[in-house]
Amino acid sequence: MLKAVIRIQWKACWHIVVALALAGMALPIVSVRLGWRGAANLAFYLSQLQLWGLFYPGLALIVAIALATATWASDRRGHHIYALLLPLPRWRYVLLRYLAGLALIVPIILSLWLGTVIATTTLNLPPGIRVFPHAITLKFALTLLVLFGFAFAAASASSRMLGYALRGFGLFLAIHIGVLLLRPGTNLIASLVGILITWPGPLAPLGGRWMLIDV
Amino acid sequence: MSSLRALATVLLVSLAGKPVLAQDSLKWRDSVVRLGLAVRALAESLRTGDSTVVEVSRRHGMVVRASRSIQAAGDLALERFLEAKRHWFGTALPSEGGFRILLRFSGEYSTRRDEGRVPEVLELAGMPDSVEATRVLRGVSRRQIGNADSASSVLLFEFGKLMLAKSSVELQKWLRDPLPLSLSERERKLPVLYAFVTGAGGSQRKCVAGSLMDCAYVLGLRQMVGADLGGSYPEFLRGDLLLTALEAGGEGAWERLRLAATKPVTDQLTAAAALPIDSLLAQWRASLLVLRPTDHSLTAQQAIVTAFWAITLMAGAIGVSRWA
Amino acid sequence: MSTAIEVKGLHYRASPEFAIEDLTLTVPAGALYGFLGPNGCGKTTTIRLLLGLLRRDAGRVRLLGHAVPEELPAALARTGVIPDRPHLHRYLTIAESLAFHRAFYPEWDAGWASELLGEFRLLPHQRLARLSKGEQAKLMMLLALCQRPELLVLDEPMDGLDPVVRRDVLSALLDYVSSRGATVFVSSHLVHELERFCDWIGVMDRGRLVVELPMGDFRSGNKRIRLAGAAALEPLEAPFTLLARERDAGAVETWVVRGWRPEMTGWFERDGVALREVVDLDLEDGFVELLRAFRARES
Repeated sequence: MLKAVIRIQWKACWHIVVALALAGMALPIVSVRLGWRGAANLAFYLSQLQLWGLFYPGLALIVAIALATATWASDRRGHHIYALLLPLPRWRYVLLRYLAGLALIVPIILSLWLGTVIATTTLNLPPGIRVFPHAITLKFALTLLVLFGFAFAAASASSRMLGYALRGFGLFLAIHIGVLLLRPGTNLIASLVGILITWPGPLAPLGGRWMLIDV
Repeated sequence: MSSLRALATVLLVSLAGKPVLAQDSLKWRDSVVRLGLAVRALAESLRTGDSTVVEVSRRHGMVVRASRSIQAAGDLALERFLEAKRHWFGTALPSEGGFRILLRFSGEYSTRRDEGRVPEVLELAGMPDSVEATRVLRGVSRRQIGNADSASSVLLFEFGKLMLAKSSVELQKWLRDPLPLSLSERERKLPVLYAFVTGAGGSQRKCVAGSLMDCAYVLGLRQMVGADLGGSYPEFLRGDLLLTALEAGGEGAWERLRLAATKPVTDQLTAAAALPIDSLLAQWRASLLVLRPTDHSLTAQQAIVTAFWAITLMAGAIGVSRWA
Repeated sequence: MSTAIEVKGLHYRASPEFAIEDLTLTVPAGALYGFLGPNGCGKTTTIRLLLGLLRRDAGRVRLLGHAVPEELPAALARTGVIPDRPHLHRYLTIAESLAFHRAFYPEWDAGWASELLGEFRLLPHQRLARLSKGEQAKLMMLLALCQRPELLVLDEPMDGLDPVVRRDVLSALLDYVSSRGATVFVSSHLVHELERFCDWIGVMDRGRLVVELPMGDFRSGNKRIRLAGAAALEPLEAPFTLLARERDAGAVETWVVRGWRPEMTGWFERDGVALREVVDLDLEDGFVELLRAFRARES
């Protein structure tokens, strides 16, 4: 069953996977080659690389949203009737879709890894400068795993559940505004974001250094 | 000003009688000088528009006076300053005759000048007050001094300038910049690390690779003849090297540095650090490299936490996919 | 197992204006059950409730002995479904669709699938998005049949199809049913469509089941009777069900009845009523009169 689901998911998403795999491979190569002038301007070069580093989590976010949306697009169009009429529990079907999504993510991660290896091995770096092709790939993979989880959950949600989520968010906003009016300086949104992005929050992998080449 | 002079005259006349009661002329002279300093401080306070600069704390021969808004910070600032000063300079002082550091901050770094804002004033004086003390009076610092941490760090920075001014000319020429004492160790060392590793010259590259001879050359400690010359590090690396030497030398390091003032800079540094120059350079180099960032990759623990979240989100997806 | 589908006391409120109330129906195993009703009466909603696509408010549903929704996957493993609208993944080709579908049904008959592809003149490389309505219907029937189900639930499978396609689809369905003895539950608003092959009929209107009986009884028992002198007759104790009563010119009345048998003429003669004419109603007329009577009673 998993193979069958992977096949139809590949059919639905292959153009997205190929495009993003190419982007994943190009990103490290372009970021490293652009602006490289040998060891002459290393300090400036590293500061540029730090800016390029933002593209990695950005790419992970795009991959997550694109694949999750494409995964569920056809089911959504058919109001999930085909899925509900299949002889397996709903949870199992969702799990199959999720695992198939992960299978399609792997080529993108591998492509990015290949790009990092090509980018770093073709440069003649001075001593003291370190390269992190495997570390950045692993970081990208784990970030993508979490972001895909979020996107997949949102894309698989029924309209009713999405409605609840929106209402819940609206309620949170209302509470935030109320608290802000009563106690200026208390920022619930900032607190929530802080919880999400610091360890052991789910978005913590987005932090840290996204430097393929560093001191 | 005329009313001020009148006030000063009244004070002088009214106190003129006091020396009559003094038991010796020296004490009388000191008290007159102290009076002069107090009047000058009062005059300055009146000039700045803040008449509330009062003594906040007095410890180990140092006195801190502060304006009203930062009096609480002033006490804690003195404590922190003394600790840091002891760490770097031991019991050494810029002058036996005392010193003064006056800091004033009036919001000049705000985006909009704060009209009518009362400046924050912090003064550190090293006892004893004497005539000579007026010669080492420093100018105004323009950094914010509203909390104990920033106040103590600025005081230390200014104190470092005073101490450096009393060190050998050779050392001062070699350093060129004040000692970066207002920064924390991490704030100080990170730019040093980046400058160290990204130096473009041949000798700089060799220094990074481990050649201590090249390190000495690019830090201006040694002349070299040979190939691959090129590059020298910015001066702020030298300040960090000196501070590393003082830390390595521990107690009495500054004193040893001062006692070696007639020797070349290399010898002064080795005297301070109580280490051969190569060992000092190796230690300095190692202290930089150890600060290289390590958060490029996730630890095993972080990977497990991430996997946990992925599974939780997948379970959440199952939960919210109630299509029927 | 004697019943393929069992529904008891089903309640579902779709909107403030429409609800399915207290629906009870039974589909015997092996029956070809026609689920008849006008547009908007709740046939599709009922089928969705049977298949667990909607959550009922009350009542009980069993498919092939499995409780719905608790044992729904087990029930669906033995049930072929054609919903009212195409539900397949339109970006797939026919071959890909078959490959995907068969992965979920161990009983899949690959040989018969190839045969039907040929009979239905479907090309494996054709994308579903480019199929005509008839081709889509044929493909859905192929998928439902080739999984070898014991029960087929078909929601208006012939709707909008031309006679040729209809014949092809129906032929395949009946071939399967006759060889396998499967139960078919098929809904439609077209009476003549169901008349041709169903042996049971359930009529639904406004969320309620009006009647459920063997097709033979339904077909043969609907009559239009012309009577004279029946003005004073009260049909409350009649052995048949009076669906409609119209007074014509003079003393002649026209009655539409259900459940008529020839020996019932005696009931009229007993009261001196002259039976002028007894005309068979076709299924459609019977269906219309049935609904009219039901609505009159409801209002």
